[in-house]
Amino acid sequence: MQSADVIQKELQCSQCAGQRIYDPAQQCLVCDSCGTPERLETPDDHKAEAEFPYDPNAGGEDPRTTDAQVVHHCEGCGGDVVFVGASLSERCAYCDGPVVLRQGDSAFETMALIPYRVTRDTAQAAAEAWVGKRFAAPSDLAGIVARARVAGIYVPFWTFDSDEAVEYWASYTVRRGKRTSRRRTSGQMQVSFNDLLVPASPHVTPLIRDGILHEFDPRRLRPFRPGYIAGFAAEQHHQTVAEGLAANEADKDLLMRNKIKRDVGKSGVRDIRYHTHTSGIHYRRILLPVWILHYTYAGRAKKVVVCGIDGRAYGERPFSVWKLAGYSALVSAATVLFGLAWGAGGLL
Amino acid sequence: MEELIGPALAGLALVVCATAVGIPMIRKLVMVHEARHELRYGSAGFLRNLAGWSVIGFWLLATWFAATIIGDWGQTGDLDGAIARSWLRLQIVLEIVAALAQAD
Repeated sequence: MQSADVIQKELQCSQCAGQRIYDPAQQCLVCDSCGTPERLETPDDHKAEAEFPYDPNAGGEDPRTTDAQVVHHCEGCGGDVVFVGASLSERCAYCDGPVVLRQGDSAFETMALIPYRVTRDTAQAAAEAWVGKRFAAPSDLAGIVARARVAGIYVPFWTFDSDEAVEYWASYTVRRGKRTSRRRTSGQMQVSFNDLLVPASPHVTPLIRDGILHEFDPRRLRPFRPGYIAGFAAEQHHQTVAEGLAANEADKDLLMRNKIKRDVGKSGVRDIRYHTHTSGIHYRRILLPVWILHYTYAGRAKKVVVCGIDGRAYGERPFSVWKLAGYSALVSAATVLFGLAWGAGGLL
Repeated sequence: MEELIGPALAGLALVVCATAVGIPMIRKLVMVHEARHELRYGSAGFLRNLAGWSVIGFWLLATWFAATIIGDWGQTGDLDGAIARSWLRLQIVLEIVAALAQAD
């Protein structure tokens, strides 16, 4: 983050000295007082796509920067968010819990971000529409969600590239007539991961990431400028690259095993073991815009997250046990009737 | 008519049991449906949410298999014979169960 003076200068309207905030609809800074817009694009914007190499054997990490900004620390979920300019809420953007103010935060420099394109109203409608389309949801859920409001926050993410030279061993099923047996196999393959998105915040789960971020276009990245986050909360990057890679291990392992299954190309692939030589690691520390809608159902806090880039929604939802039981009864009755008819007909 | 009371009660009990067992299966079915339509194809979340879908098939096959015995019993009035005649069907059901487990 830049110094408070520099930030203040960028956020001050050149016409009336009023405070400016970022408007997703116009995709520029807009003065709160006189409405004068100002574009934030620069000729160097394309440089935001740049990735940075990382050698795990070389050691050494980027230096953290400590700035004098006020950090809003949530006493509920432990989230730390910052606001550029005036803070917009005394509640945590992640969990809606109460926040306390702290001075200064030690964080890593954000390299780039994708600015908001989806407005608050559109996000609210998307979240409500998502909830409205849930099968077997409680009947009162839509009303509860309609009373909740979305909060905008820039969430820290990693993008990772890597090249993997994989050697694997596995077994698969072979059928011969009525007999089945297991066969062992092994192989080698090359796998490249490109722009693997990894949440750098414990508040956004990989499942929510896979629900809202279907396409990541690095050409939409912009160099970090305080003006882009004026009017929104932002969480800074606190993970080292090694910690980011470690956080991605479980997902990478699952994807690797799935690729091995496809490489073997047989049925019943099990007992997969592999080792991989990883090279060409490149990363970016970026911020991505999301709208989070909090609601509480049956005493449990839940959230629906809307992508601030394209408005795609995904989240946590409760189920109605009675509706599940109703659907189950219908399917069970149909299956039993089919079975009864089959048995009564003397088939097989 | 009296000989149908046993199979009818057994069929009813089967519907009740299958309904109770089916509640988490329907929940899984909804989650699989949502994952297929809403999660990024091939992503880690997509793979995790789809894993375990075969239990839905096991539930339906088990329910159907038990119902076929009851149907046979109701038609012939011979429960022991119905069970004996279901062995071949059971083998086929087990083959399908094994195939589902392999595909999951």
